[in-house]
Amino acid sequence: MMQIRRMRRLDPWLLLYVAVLVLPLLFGLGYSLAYSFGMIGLLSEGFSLGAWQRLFEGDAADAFLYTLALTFWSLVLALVFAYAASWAMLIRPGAGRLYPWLFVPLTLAPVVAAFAVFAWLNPAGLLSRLTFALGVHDGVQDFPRLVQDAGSIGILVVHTLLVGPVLAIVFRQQANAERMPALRKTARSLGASDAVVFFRVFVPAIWRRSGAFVLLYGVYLFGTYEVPLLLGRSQPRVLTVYITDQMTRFDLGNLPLAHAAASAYALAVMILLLRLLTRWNRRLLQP
Amino acid sequence: MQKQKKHAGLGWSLVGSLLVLPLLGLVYVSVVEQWRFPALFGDARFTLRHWQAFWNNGNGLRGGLGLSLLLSGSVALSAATAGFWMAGRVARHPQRRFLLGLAYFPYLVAPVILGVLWQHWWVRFGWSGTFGGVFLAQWLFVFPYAVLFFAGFWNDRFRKLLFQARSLGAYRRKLWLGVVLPMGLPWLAVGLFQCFLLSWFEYGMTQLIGVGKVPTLTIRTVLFVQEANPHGAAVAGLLMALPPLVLLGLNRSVFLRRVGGSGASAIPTDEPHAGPR
Amino acid sequence: MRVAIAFFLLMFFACGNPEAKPELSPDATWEDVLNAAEGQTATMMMWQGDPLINRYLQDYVRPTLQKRHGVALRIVDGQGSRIVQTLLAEAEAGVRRSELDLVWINGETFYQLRQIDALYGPFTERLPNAQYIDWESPFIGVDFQQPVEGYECPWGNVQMALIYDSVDLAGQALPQSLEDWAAWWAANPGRFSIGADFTGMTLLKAWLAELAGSRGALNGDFNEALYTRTSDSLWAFINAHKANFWNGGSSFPANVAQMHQLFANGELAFTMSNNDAEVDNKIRQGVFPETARAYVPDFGTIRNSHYLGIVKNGPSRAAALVAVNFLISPEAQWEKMNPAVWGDHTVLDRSLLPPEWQARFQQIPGRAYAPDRKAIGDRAILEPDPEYMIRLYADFRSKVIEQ
Repeated sequence: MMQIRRMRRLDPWLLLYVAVLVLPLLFGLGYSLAYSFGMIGLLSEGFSLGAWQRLFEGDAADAFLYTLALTFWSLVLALVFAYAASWAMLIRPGAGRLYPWLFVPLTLAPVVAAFAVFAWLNPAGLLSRLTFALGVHDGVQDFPRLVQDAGSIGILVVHTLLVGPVLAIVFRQQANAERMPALRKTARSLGASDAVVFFRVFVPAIWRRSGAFVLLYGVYLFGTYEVPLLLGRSQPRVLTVYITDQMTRFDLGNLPLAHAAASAYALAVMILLLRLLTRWNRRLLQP
Repeated sequence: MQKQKKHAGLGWSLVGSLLVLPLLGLVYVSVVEQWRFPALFGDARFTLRHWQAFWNNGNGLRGGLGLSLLLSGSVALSAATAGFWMAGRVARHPQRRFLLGLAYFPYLVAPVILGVLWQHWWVRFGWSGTFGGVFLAQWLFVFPYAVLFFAGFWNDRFRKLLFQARSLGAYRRKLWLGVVLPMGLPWLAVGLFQCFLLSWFEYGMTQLIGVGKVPTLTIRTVLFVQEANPHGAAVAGLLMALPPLVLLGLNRSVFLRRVGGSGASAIPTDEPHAGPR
Repeated sequence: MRVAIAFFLLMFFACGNPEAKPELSPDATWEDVLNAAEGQTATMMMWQGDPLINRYLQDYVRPTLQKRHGVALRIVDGQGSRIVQTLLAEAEAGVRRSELDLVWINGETFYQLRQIDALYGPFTERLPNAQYIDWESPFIGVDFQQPVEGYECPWGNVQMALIYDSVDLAGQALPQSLEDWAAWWAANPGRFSIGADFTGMTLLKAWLAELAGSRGALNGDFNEALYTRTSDSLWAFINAHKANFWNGGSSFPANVAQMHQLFANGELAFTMSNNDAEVDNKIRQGVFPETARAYVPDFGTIRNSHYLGIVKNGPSRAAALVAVNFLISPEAQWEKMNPAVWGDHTVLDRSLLPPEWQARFQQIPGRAYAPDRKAIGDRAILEPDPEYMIRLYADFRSKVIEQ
């Protein structure tokens, strides 16, 4: 509050800036919260905690846990990809050739990447046809489920495809900024193996510089929508799909639940961000 | 030794080319029809019909392309310019960390959920289902991104430079024309492109706020998927990949500060080598 | 600075809520309606999950309406629940000018839209072409056991059919009853599924009626005790065999288009359609193999009509009326009934039509692969009360998908 007051004295444009960032969120959240407590809405029957209670049981909780797990594993896979690729580019001769290719997936919208991966991996898709032609399997019934599957493989593939290369590009730049090639040379001449250099030097040094950035990606993945919409199973669903599903269910009684879930999601993201911004203050907020 | 290195390079190029497979798959699906399993090459029917349909706008794709270009172009142009200018004001403010931190909030909440939160207000003000309504909704999360992006430009060093220029007597207009714009132009180009992509790739919010009346390419793509028309979806998907691909061919650096798919697709880093200087 | 803030506030609060146009006078003649409609744009929200239907609207209806009446038709995607949600959001925001003018609906959506008072009406008696509609048919004049009372206009009439590949299933008896299905699933694991959409629920309604004892067992108002008893058996039955469904029963196709694709690629042995003539148009499109056929099991399937509703607060009411009148014209209905175009059965009573149209309807190319319409008429089940559908949707999710 103090900060806002001081700002007004200094620069009215900044007040407008704050308003543009904060007001829409506050208005939106306010409406959804009021709706979730049954205080507004055409079919509302007065104040009720019902929607919020339902949020902690059954499929809403499932959606939350599933989204969390999906975010975690997507991030892990993208990190593995990025560390492996950036390390390879550092130590393998010729691996620099990989670099330009890393930019290609960046041209794909999540919707398009999801559809393309579906076209490749569904039981009647390109991969299945190719392997069928090679006599590897006996037809669609024989091909393993890789999309809309229990392990969420399709979603993880797309997430890795979308996030992995970006992190790899950034990691490579960070490695150069950290003078990694010279560091590695020194370490090797002192008798350290590449494995030691990788785990003791490379991984932590890169993380120090880009951990905040990676974690912001986690926040992004937590809100993933199009990819699980096209490649996910009917159950469990990620939070965003769960929320939009509840919004358009035939039973209009689900609307307060949808608003409760949307507010809970938005609040969770904000708290997470607040934590990130205080923890990684220097990295994220230094112009 | 030289030869070995060349071979190794070839191998890595091969590994890298795996990343092109999704696009190649789309190209293939866009030129076949009656594509029942196990038709692949010999037994598949190849056709340019799906591309012709786009060209004749029989499936609304050409209109979708034009609309998307207009929407994303105008969102990017306005958000990037406003963001560039506002980032400067933010950077010169003693509370800049607080101010910059605020920008992360609208930008990192999933756009589709912003759509859910905002839908009521957009309906109430008569903005839903209109181009302007979708424009505003997208702008409200692209602009914060632009501020975060350009904050990197207005760094300590640059601010000191400005200070020097001012103490040497440069007045405001001169400062902008002589220092800020020339130095900021490469940044503006990249920021503009990234803001464009943020809007270009957006689906969920556009669908909710646009009530389907603002049928951008992403919306067309999902419609094709829904009617189980993979060929139309492939054409739409390739059209969406086209502008970024062209830019990639022209200049890789436009992607350098960019990060990922949609939503958080462009978190700026503060690394010295991560952007044009 | 103040100017900037004022501008911002203006943007935020001022532009909203334009008033609806003045009401078309109740005693306006059809001439008046036509005059008022010229130059208007009607926005129609409809399910866009079928390329042929989309093409019928885009390539035939839109240009004809534009040319003949100067009415522009804008089509936006969204079925049942999205229509309800959009109009509910408008009602909650107190908006008096809707985004939509025209909606393509079924009984359960009709019921919900009536609940939130979102439909304009009665309007059907204003339409000149309504005189040809077969109002006497219980499958047309009554929607999900509710008299339509002029608040929606019948557009097409269909009966659900199951589609299979006669080569794929050669030598196998087609399942006719629930016991048959259980045996078939056990013998052919992974090759059957139910769409988690309108079509899937329509199949479930037929099964529900079978469990309730007869084709007419669900007629009348919603019966809670009957529903609970029969649906409990239905879920128990499905869950007992779910492991033999496609994808191990862990996922269900999101919509009928997806099912068609799974069927075309041989993953599923059956797909289904609410349109008994669909197999014809899908074979013509090359989506299904030429050996695909459709059948209606002995027990029967739901026959129903789909309707057009006019949104109460729609800004282009006259255009909406003109569009509906055109869509139920002999010409547009004839075009739509052609299996190569859509194959949707007409709602018109042919005996009421002018002779030349009677003749033309006679000459519509017949169905090559779909079952004979008269024959399956004996196995038609009336749509039950909308509450059954709403409950089936919710329970299918919580008691089958989420189990």
